[in-house]
Amino acid sequence: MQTLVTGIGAITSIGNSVSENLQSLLDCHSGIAPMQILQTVHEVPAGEIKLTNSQLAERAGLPTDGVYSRTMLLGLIAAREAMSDAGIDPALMRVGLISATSVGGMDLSEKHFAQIREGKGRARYMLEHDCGASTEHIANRLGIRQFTTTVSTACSSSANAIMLADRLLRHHLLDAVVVGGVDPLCRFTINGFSSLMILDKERCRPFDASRAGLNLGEGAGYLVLQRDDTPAAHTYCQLKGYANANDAHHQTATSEQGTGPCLAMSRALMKAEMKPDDIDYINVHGTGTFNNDQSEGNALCHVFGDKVPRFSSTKVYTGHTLGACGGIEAVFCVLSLINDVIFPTFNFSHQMENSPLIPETKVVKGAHLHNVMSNAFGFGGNVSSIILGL
Amino acid sequence: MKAYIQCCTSISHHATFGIDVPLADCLPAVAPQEEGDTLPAIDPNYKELIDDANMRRRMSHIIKMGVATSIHCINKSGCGQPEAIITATGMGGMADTEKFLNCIIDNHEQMLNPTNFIQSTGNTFGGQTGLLNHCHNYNVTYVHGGFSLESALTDALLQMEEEDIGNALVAAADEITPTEQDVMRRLGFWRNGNKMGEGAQAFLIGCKPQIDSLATITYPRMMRGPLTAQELDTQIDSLLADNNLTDKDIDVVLTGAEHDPEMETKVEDRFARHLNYKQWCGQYFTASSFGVWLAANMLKQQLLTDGQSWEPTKMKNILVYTETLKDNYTLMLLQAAFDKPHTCHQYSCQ
Amino acid sequence: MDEQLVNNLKQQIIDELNLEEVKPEDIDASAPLFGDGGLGLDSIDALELIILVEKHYGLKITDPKKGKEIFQSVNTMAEYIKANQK
Repeated sequence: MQTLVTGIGAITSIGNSVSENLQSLLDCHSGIAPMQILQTVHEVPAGEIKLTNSQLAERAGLPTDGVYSRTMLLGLIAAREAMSDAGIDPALMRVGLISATSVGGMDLSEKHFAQIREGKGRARYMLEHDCGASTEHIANRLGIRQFTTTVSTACSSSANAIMLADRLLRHHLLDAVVVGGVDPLCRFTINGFSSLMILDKERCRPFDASRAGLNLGEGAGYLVLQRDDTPAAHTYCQLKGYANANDAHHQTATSEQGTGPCLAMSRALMKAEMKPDDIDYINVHGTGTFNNDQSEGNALCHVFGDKVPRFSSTKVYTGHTLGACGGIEAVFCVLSLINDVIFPTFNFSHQMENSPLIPETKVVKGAHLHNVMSNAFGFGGNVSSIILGL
Repeated sequence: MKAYIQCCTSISHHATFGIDVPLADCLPAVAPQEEGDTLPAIDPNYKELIDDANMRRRMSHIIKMGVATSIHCINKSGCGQPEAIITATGMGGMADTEKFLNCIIDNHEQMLNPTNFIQSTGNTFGGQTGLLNHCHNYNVTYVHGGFSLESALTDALLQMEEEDIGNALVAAADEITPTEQDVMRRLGFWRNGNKMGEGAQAFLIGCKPQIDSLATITYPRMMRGPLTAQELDTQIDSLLADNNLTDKDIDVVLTGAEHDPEMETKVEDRFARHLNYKQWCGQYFTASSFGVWLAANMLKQQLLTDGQSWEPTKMKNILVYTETLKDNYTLMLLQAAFDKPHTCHQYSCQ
Repeated sequence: MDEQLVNNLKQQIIDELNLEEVKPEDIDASAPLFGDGGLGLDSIDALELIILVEKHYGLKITDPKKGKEIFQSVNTMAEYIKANQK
């Protein structure tokens, strides 16, 4: 049995649809810029989608005067795009939704919390706070009545959602799954990463000696996965392998040698029954923090030896979209495979100390891609790798 | 796929913490009427259970509850390191979230303590359990209202069925915060005599029976409302049929209803005996983990309350029905681990 | 060394980092705060100490790497505060 990718959907700061994202990726157009929509005192650039909530609601086909979490709006737009791309109908087959988010409806709660904590304002906005709330809204609006759940493991959330989706398909509990993740920019995470002192005031520089932190971003990315014995409009690629591991080193930092990342990558290869040299390209987690890139870089060298595949971090385009990055970057990996192209870390200039690694810095067309890996690492030592292939 | 519950621990409003705590010692035969709108958890001595002082000092209540039940369960099960740690929470670290939000507002986005931010994410207690257990295995957290625990169990069972893993720790935790309590009050949540609860349960489940297994558990059923009585019946029918059972095989149904008395009555009427488990643990998104803990212990100890006392009663199959805020309905089936329970006498209340 | 400042710092560290069962007199002002042998603090505590210094003494440390030198011990913290406070 094979698990096929039959639909993709994405909204990020570089595009409101998959095709807009693809164009920006090919043009090396970054969405990282000063924030305009989100009100915060922090003067840091971010991968912000320059649409207000009511503009997003309009795109999502919802009344523009309604109150929605941005999480739900972004998630709905991308999940719906993936679903209509695959052409699946929940009335005709068992379709589930597995969504991932790290902040849930935080953008709504933080706007109203000053009043709510005083016992004023609209208490019901707090009902949108939990991570499952946006997922339920998305499922309802897409007509999905089957298995619906939400994964929240910080920045690896979406990658972990994909793993559960595959298992549900393999065991015939579902015929198709809309799976991915979403996170909006909000003051909570801007202040959180600011308190950790890892926000770069410039555009992030993943795997670069001069890297000084990450840029936050927002967006959503979803895939439609189907078993190969179900009718599909078209097939982009297969989900070939995956693994999650726990670095078990520290609450926020990854171990210097990259114990967890090594385990996730090598176990994903085992699950895919592949050797390291079967991987043609890696979309690395590559946030641009000192710790992540050092740790991930060491893990790459450990797993792949002196034959580290071509790799790049696309966070230089979108910023770090937290719980959504595994979904968005999985969509980018699908785009890489079907267009046979690598999207570069186009602003790279200097190799990291004691590291031989250099990411792709220019768009590579005709890259001969058969199998690609995508990494996503999160707080709590949570590390995940997935492998997609033609 | 059936998995065996090998070991479980619980922190709840009653003195449930420990291994194989006799039900008659920890739960009153009927929960007494209490003042106030909450049923706060009784805390064990966390200092003994979480020996890393540097980690413990940063932990909020939910993390202490989740980590203490998880670590204790792992240690007592003798598994060393579980092959997967799969956790569930409905709201995650609300106390830390509220503290951080308060700081953002009061300090105008300046001078914020990173600890509250770090510890607010849903996967904190699962991650810290892995960290304390030095466990590099699969570690995932589900945060989806009344489906959180059920999703974690589904994930564990799927991986066991694939033979990717032979055992897993499945744990759930949620905490009460004053703001949440106030929000629920304002939303009219307490009208039906509901009380908000909190707690944590951890289960070490495995694919092979052990001499001290408590019970077996199968794939949970999850239904999103609005639900009709017919849909509920169909789900119960199919769950029972999948396990070759009929209505009369269900010895007791544990119910945990919240807002839908009609559906609760429907479930109660269908089976010979019913018992409301939320009377002991209160209402919260992962309360069904208390239901599973109770069902597993009732099966192992072969004890059922008649409202006066816990009485030795032969039981093989217990259905746990749960409904939570936001129309999440779930069904879980627990069955005696062995045809002839070999431990039944030791827990009787005499 | 300003003993009052050192004692204040000890109490503030205990409060801000929620050091259970540690009393000010248990802290050796010259002992390392981080790693083995001292209080065993880590990188998250370093960030909390940056907040502490800003909150109580109005001094902003913008480079977390600089924190390492400043937070070697309670004494070095006190010296930094004395030298920089207006």
